[in-house]
Amino acid sequence: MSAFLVFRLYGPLAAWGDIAVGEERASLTHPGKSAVLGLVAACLGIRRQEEERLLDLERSLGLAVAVQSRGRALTDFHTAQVPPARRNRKPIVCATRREEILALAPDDDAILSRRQYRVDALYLACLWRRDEGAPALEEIRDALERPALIPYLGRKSCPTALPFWPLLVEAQTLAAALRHALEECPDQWWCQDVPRRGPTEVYWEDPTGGPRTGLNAREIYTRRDALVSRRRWHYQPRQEARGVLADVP
Amino acid sequence: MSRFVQLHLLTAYPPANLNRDDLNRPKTVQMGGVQRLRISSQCLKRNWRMSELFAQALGENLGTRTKEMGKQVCADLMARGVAEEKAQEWASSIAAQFGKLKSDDPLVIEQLAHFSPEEKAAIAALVDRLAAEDRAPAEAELALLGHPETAVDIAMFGRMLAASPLYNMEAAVQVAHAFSVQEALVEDDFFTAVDDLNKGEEDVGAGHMGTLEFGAGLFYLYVCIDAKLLKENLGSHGDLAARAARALVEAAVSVAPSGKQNSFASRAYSSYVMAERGDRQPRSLAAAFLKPIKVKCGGEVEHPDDDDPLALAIKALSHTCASMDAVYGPLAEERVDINALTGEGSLGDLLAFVEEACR
Repeated sequence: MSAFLVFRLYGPLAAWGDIAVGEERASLTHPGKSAVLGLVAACLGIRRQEEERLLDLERSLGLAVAVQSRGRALTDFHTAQVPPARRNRKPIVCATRREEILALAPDDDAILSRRQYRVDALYLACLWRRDEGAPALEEIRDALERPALIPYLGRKSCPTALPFWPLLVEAQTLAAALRHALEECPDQWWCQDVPRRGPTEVYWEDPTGGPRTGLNAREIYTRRDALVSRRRWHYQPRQEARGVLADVP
Repeated sequence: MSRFVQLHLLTAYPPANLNRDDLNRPKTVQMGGVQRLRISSQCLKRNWRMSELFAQALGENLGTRTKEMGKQVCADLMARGVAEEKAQEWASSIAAQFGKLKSDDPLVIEQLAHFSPEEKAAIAALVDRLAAEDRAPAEAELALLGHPETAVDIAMFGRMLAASPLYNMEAAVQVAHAFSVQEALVEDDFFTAVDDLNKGEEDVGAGHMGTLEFGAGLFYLYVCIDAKLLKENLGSHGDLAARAARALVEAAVSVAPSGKQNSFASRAYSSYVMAERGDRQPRSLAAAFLKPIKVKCGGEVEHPDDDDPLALAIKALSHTCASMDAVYGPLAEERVDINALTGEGSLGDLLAFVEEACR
């Protein structure tokens, strides 16, 4: 029997960053490890500069995500007008955004970006301990219920629209833990209007030395979201397997 | 003092193109598989931050921008009887905390630095102490003068993209994208511009033709203030945090985005606002509108509210809030609302509630 912490992620918009260079800020279809652990770290009150504690979380927790609905992509055309750093060799110093905007000249350019979001997406994240260093699952559960910092789904403009409802589950396999959480989860009428297309898929990382998954891996692929340094925005590749929850091996 | 203060607003904007995408169409989003109009988070934030109301409400706290604080401090010290040489040296070390000093004039900072009233008070207190004890400022005392932490705008909305001596800061306020609670159509306005000098002798056509896209909707806005972080970002000044939160709510309730306002004059005040404070995980009530509000017409109307989208939306919001409380336990410690439809509640009370929660 292993212990799992399962919690729900839902918001009208969510963004799970893919490799982004320049104008295009794409989003993947489901949260990766850096996203979920970033959320957990925010709830625990760990700041961005606390590298050690963030690496502890990365090393000592394993992640699986059940995708009840992967949603659709929304591309937001985002413009930001910013005055240059210097004009006529004099630096421009502004205390507020209003001052920045008033300091604009007619031919100053706006910074353009196309930011992708997922809409109508519903996920269940599942964590298990695989090493020492991270806080206990109970502590993480308490932090999710009473967070220290505002939690958000990828971008700050994506608030959660349903409580995480973190659940500590003892189960033989990862699949059993997820099925139990799905049964217990108070869906009510809120989630029913989130359109579902297809069966619930699960993406999990290799739990070697940890719990059994109880799932068939249909595909294994690499995603660059294992934290090396949050401060330097440095991540390394991580392998994820994809399977379908209803598939009983 | 609660950790989170959440605001839920329902604002009905008449036909408008408040926030456009790259094709000049109003921004949209799918929710519950149904298209809604959308006003992006960045659009809302920009317009609130740009507004006169915001600037005025915080005007007293925007402080002074100057390069010449060192000269001021030197004059103050000399007025209290400190010798000129010593005064210049001490003033110089104080001014150095706020920026690089000019090489030819050690009392003047190269770039404009921002001094809030709190910082000016701290500097004045230090000057008094130094003059009374007739000694140079200690390292620790100088370090305390620190960076300007009280730029309220940055404390609320986070780091700016500008080369400046100000700290990068984590935003204490989260603003969600606003979306319409009903299914919304993006409509076209076909317009022509007639040529005044064309007498129609050769060509009866218009001078210019085009289409303009627009839409109207009742929007749901959600704002979450991390009161603890806001206070921390403002150097633990509770009063300033309270005033900042108040200014934000006033702006959110009354300031409309500026897109195409000359053509559409789509200005509205919020029809319904609910504020809640608590320590539990904040949550938007967007789930109330996953199923879009559908208005009944004609013979289907059973209840007086059935053909009133605002009343239906308020009901959906309250019902979802109550249901969630029933299932998850109370998600907030206290709530206050104002309802412009029924005329209940007062903005003053709501603002006072938010101020106290953020103090």
